[in-house]
Amino acid sequence: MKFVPKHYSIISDIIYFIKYFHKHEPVVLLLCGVEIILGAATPLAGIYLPKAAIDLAVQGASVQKTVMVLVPFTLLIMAVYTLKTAVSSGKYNYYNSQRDQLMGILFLKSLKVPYKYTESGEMKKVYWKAYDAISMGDWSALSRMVTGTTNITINILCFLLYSTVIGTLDTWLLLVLDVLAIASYLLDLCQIRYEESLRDEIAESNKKYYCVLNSMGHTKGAKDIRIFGMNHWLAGLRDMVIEKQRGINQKLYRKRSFFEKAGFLLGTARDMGAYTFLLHQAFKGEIDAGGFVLYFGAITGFSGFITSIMNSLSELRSAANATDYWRAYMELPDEDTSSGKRHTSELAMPLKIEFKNVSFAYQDAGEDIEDNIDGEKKTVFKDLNLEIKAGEKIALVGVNGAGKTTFVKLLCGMYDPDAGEILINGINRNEFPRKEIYGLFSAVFQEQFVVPCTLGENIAMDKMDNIDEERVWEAVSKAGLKELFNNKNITLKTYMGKAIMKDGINLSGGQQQRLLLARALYKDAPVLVLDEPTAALDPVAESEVYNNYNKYSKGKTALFISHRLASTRFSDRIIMIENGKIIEEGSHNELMGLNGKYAEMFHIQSNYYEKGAEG
Amino acid sequence: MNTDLTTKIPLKEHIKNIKRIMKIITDIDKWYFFFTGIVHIINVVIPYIQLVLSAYILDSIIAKKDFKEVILVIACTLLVILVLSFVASSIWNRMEVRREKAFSLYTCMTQTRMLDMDFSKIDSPEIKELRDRIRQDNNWGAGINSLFWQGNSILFGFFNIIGAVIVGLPVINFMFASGKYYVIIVLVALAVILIIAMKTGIYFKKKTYQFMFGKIKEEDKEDLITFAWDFASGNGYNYKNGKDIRIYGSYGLMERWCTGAFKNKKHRSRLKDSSAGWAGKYGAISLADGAIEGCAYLAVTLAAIAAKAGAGDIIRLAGCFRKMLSSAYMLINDITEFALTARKQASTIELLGMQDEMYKGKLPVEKRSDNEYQIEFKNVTFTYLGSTEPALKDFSMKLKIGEKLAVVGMNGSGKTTMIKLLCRLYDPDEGEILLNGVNICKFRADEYRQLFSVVFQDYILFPFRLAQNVAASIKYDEAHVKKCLENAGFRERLEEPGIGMETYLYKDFDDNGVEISGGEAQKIAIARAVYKDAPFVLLDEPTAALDPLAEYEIYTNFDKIIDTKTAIYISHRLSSCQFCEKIAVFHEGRLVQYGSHDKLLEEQDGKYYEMWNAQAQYYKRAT
Repeated sequence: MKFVPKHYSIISDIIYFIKYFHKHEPVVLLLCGVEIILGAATPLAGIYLPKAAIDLAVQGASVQKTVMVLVPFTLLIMAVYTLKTAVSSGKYNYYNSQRDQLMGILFLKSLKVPYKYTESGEMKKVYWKAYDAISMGDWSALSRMVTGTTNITINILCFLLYSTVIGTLDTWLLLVLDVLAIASYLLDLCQIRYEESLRDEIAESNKKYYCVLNSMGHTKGAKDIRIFGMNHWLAGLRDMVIEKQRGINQKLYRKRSFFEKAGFLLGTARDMGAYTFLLHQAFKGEIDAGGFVLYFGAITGFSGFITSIMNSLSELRSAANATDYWRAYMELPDEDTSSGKRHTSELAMPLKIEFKNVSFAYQDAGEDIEDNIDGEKKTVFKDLNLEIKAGEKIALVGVNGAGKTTFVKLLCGMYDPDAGEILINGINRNEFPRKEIYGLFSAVFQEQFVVPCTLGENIAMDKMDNIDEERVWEAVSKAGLKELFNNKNITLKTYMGKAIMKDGINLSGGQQQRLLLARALYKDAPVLVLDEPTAALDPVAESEVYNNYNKYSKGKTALFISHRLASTRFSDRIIMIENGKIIEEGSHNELMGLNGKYAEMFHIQSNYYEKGAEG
Repeated sequence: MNTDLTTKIPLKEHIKNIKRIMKIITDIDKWYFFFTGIVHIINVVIPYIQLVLSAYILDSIIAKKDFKEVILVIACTLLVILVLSFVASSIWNRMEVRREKAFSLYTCMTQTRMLDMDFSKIDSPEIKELRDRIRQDNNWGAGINSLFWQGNSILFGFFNIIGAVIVGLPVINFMFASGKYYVIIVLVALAVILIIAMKTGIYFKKKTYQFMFGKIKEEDKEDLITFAWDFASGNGYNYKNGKDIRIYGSYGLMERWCTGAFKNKKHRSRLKDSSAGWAGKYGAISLADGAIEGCAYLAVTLAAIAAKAGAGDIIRLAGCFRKMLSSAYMLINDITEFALTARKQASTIELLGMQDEMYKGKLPVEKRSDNEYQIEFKNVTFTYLGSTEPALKDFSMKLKIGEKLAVVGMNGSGKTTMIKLLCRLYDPDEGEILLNGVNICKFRADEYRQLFSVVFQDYILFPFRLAQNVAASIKYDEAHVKKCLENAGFRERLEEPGIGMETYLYKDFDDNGVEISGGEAQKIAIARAVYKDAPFVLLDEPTAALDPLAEYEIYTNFDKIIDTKTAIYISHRLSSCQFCEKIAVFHEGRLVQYGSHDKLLEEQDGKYYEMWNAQAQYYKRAT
């Protein structure tokens, strides 16, 4: 499924950003307005000043008159120039800093859309294009929209003003100039088209260049680089990508030089014509010396405005294309988390959960690397039936890619089944608001997520003001971290990592895993889900988690997923899945009795321990 | 070394910075500025020709010269300008290609330096800090491109002043010759305005630097710092973490840390101040610009009227006067910007010039077909930089040829450190490591490292071709790569369509690259170690991401993989040690137990016994 964003016109995008600034930073709009007025006045001052000076000199004006005319003129120019630049630079800083906020808005949006969008390959592409629309500094769609809109307005105004000036002299001249300007526009257009045709190639080669750079500078990879002598390999790749870049640039700049020269020819023709025409007028006595200067300035300036208008237009066009992705992402429907006929508060605890004829397939490539490795709409579950009894402890086992992570995502409500239903205490879970369904689960997922904010915030996963400190410490102590924190003087206000505060702490992998456990315990939800919670722990710490598991899951329905089959021993029932199907289920003893897949896996793992025990 | 860009440094320091960066630039491209210099001279000359032409035409109009003669002069002059423009354009665009290449070459220098720097350095807080600083210093501006642009701007300004002086020298004479006090007043007034503009500019420029390069005060951090960029770009946040945020209802927490700061009063006042800084910094430049333009015409006109000079003179003289002053003014600005750019590159240069500290041995390593290599750790003590506790304490161990050794221990017991020291990624603080009786420092490091095939716990695969990843080079032996991948258990995936030797891993480098799972990545890393075919094989938790069956597959292949080589195997899962003859137990940086599994189990008060039972209890036959 290829996602094509809705295309908006440039005008619509301009209105979109005007609305944005109106809401978040109205001063930008004010500054743009002032800049437009001043911007249109600036070039006029530049052509009228020499005319005024020459008129005065030719007339042989008195000192007093000269001062009376030129001093206010000078002050005016100073004021207009200064103000225009000041307004434009201040505006720059204001809109540029909005990019930070837009980044935050984009990220928060990714938390509001249904979870499946954040995993979908197509949607990820849309997300990254929306990201580019904001992230690329002065090249970002936002920046180009603001500067493009301002510049095009200024240049259109200037074009009109200059047209009036030239029109007073000769309307035919205006026509000829327009034709010349259109010729130079066509030239520009060719150049822009050509450069746009190279843009993807350039972006691609730059991406490759930075990719090689990142590989060379990879701190973790430095070990592998040294052991395997990869320096020649990486340096070789570096030289290849730089050579590639050079080839493209050579093409680009050769063409650019060609267009520049064509432009020079056109400009020379224009100047020659203008000189001849104006000289002719002057010799006829139609214009004086001052007039000559004024009109010549106007004529040469004139084509500049047309070029600028065209450039701004193409800027706006490409910014608008980028904006399409931004708007497409922002307009994705938020997940409805609050509507539902029932409330989970009415449910009897512990919970019974039932998968009834559940079928599920990922919609496109890249959604789940472990379970959907080939991508492209792979069916993960077909008619899956499973009942987890109230208060039952389930162990879910299977090889990589069997569908374990997908099962967890379906269970927690990240995905909905394509067919069939998931029942909670016999009620279809869609009857509850999704927010409340999320509230039913305490989960430790495989990907460790520690936020670089305070310890308290990390455990409660909420803002500092909303934290129940006593319960946080309780969870900390249950997860076996209290001693460490007390020894190291770590409080709930201590920051995780050094990103914000210099005195922040770095936890080891094992300690982080305990922190996540504390997070799950603090939430104390009716269903506990642990996905490989012991992968980073040493044997003794692992055993501790196992020993405490019954305490953690007391009175709850619980699901434990692990490669290490030892973990299945304290579960009531083991579910073994393969290729999305439950192939065996029962207690450890029952499954061993079956002598099937589970028994095979268990033997492989326990082989050595058993021998050791006997020997 | 002053690391804060907002502080003042002496002129000498600036000159040193500029000299050092210019040396690097001329090493990359010796003639760049020579050729662009030619372009600048042409670009300086053309406007003067135009100016003189305009003046000539004006005078002709007033003097009513012959129309045809004037047209002929104009045509010839325009032709000259056209030819000059063509030459300049050709040279300039060629130089642009060279500038782009120089940019690429310069920008990768720090990363290239990373390839051969002492590993202990790369991993050190010192280098991490320096790299952060480099990132910070290049945060604003276009990196080394700024240096090229400003360098060109300075060259242009320099020639422009020379041109203005040559063509406009008569202006000065002319104005002072007029001897009129009001002309002098205008000039003095202009000088005053320029000084004011300069001072204001500097004041505001400093202010903006404070915001661009200054560090946020510790007490403001909670209010000002956001994770918006980090999280949106996937730094410290994986899209899969969205599960946690949804389950734990943490949208509010994310909002607080991603957009919360923008509504904050401190942030608003900071933004207001920095915007004022920007407005002032650039406004001051335009103030000078406007003053020069206005005063040039004012002064020249006044002088011309007094001297009864013509319209052509006014155009020519005012034009020259303006160019002279504005290029001088811009030149000063450009030079200060240039000095800042050079200063921003000081951190990069510091990294490039970083001296290696590890002893660089010269001895070649003897290539032995019988692989008779023996390794001994002798009273080795090692402490990581920035850590107080040694990771290895008075550690001694012998590795016999062909031995398969398992290393077990709790987290942080020094297992991985031992591997790193063995590969000479670090040198011991005390004691020594011997290869066939010779301290390993005495060997050439690259040759010495050829003895080891390692799969680190946090191994990295690079986003390039699959086969190149296995062979760790551009050229590879396809049949051998394939065999190694099969031995590592990658055969099934390799048989699938869409993946082959030439396929790129991940999509970072090539959009057609394939994604691989953690387990598959681990298999490729193992294949890489097999391909190298080194006499020592070191595996640090190589099966952590694999499921039991895949793990078993690797184990059963393991004998085949390591063959007669010496192997060290680190694992948390004691069961993985089954094919190792000897087990070394590490505890708190020491070797506490050594021996066969059976022997170690007999020592019931030992660490091994404790760990073994912690795991084995779950695997004993069900009762």
